[in-house]
Amino acid sequence: MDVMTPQTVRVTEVLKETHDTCTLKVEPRNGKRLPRFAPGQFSMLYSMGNAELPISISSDPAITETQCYTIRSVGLATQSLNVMKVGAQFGVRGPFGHGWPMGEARGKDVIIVAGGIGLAPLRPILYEVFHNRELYGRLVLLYGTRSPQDILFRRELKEWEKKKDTLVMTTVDYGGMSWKGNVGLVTRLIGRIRLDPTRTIAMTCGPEIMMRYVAYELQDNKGLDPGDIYLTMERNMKCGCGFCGHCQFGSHFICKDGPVFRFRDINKLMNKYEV
Amino acid sequence: MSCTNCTMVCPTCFCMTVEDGNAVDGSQASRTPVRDSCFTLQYSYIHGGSVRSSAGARYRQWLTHKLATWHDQFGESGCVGCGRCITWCPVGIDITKEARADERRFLGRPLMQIHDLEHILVDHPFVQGMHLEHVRTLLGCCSNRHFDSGEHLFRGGNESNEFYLIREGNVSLESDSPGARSPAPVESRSGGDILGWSWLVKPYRWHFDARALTAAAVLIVDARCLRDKCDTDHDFGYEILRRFAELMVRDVRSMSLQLIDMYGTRRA
Repeated sequence: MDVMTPQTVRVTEVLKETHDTCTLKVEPRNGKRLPRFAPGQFSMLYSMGNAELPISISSDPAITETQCYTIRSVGLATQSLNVMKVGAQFGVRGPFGHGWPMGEARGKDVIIVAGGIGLAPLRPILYEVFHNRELYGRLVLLYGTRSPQDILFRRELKEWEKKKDTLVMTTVDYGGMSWKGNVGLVTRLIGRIRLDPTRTIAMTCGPEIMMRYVAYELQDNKGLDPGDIYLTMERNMKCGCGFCGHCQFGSHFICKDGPVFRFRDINKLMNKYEV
Repeated sequence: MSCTNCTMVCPTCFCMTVEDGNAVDGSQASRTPVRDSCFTLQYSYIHGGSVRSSAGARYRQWLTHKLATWHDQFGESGCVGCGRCITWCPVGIDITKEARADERRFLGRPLMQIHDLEHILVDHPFVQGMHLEHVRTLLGCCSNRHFDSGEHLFRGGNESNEFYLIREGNVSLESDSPGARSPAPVESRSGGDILGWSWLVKPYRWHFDARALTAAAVLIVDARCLRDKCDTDHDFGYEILRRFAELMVRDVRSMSLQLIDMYGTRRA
């Protein structure tokens, strides 16, 4: 099976984002090319002999020579990737899945709500919007993390704040004495923005429970249609292309029907435990 | 319980996982696909724990996948009604009972397909006049299947471990003829007909090809299962053999009529 054969890539840069998260920039070996990807798509990363796991591509889709993967170390599989140094090699399969609805977002205001590591799969949207600024309306990024130490892409967040028609707001669950920013859940930020529900599209990524409440907040307080709210799901995956059965969420295969879903389509399933 | 027996014997369960291995000296890494079951905790494991950590949730996943979401995914039932999961369950969990309980609880209307399979079988001419008890015995070896037009039901030379009760559609029996570019059609069969008796005599090998001429719906009878049942229950075995003897005689007669070319347009 061709889709099951990984392509070897080499780490060219390791960016330490936080104490447990790093971004690996990789290039293909032997002059081969990396396949193009759409924002929101993911790849299966294979650290040889250890494990294979799905990780979203967090880099600029316009850059074709290299790709970035932002990985938080939470278990053995992610740890084995997290400790990689420049020059290390691992396998990549993909990209898989349906990405963010960028076509549908054209001409609309874009609200992005991220939680923790959930900012990584959303970052390609920001690159895409900034490259084609005239195609999209206002851009709002609401970002919540556990603590100030867990904020990803700090330097870029500062750059994005200064861009035209862009609002970036960050909040943390617990701040500490030196933190002068917002403290509280990311859903609290939604109440503070103004948006026109007829020409806005929302995309969110984070823990499932966060995404659910973000969607409720956007719906109930801002009048957004559940068809205009998109979120990205996560499940155990072994193949990435609908064979292995692991990522089933009701009748959806998250790997090929998602990972990005319209909230309206999975709303009911999200209310059930252990689906 | 979560012993995974049902998923291991289910003919439609397709889940797989990949096992990673290493050579002791670290020179090689291997990946081996193996069968997996949604009843294990690893199956749904993501960082922070398993999504379906309770056995109840895992059973719900399996049951709803077989009986409900399979329809959304593949347009048919994920349960073929074979009863293997019931047979192999060490504590006697019965999918039909669970489904019936669920249908009462949630739907108030029938959901299960096993009854339907019985209705389909009873309607088939092959079992006309057969004792209901024997029909039920036969039902235990039956599964329902659809073939697309052009798809082969079986190929000559392959092992023959089943026969077919055609419900709908046309199926052509074909034979490789020397020199011909495509196989020569021998006879066509359609709804209500029976297809295949190679399962009955050793060495249990198909003699002809069978190809669906149109989309075809068939009941497949597992011959290994049936042979066992015929051996243990001779009354049932006699009933089946008698029906197949009729069929064989009819087939031989029609073939000889084909041979003598009764329309008389014999080519020189």
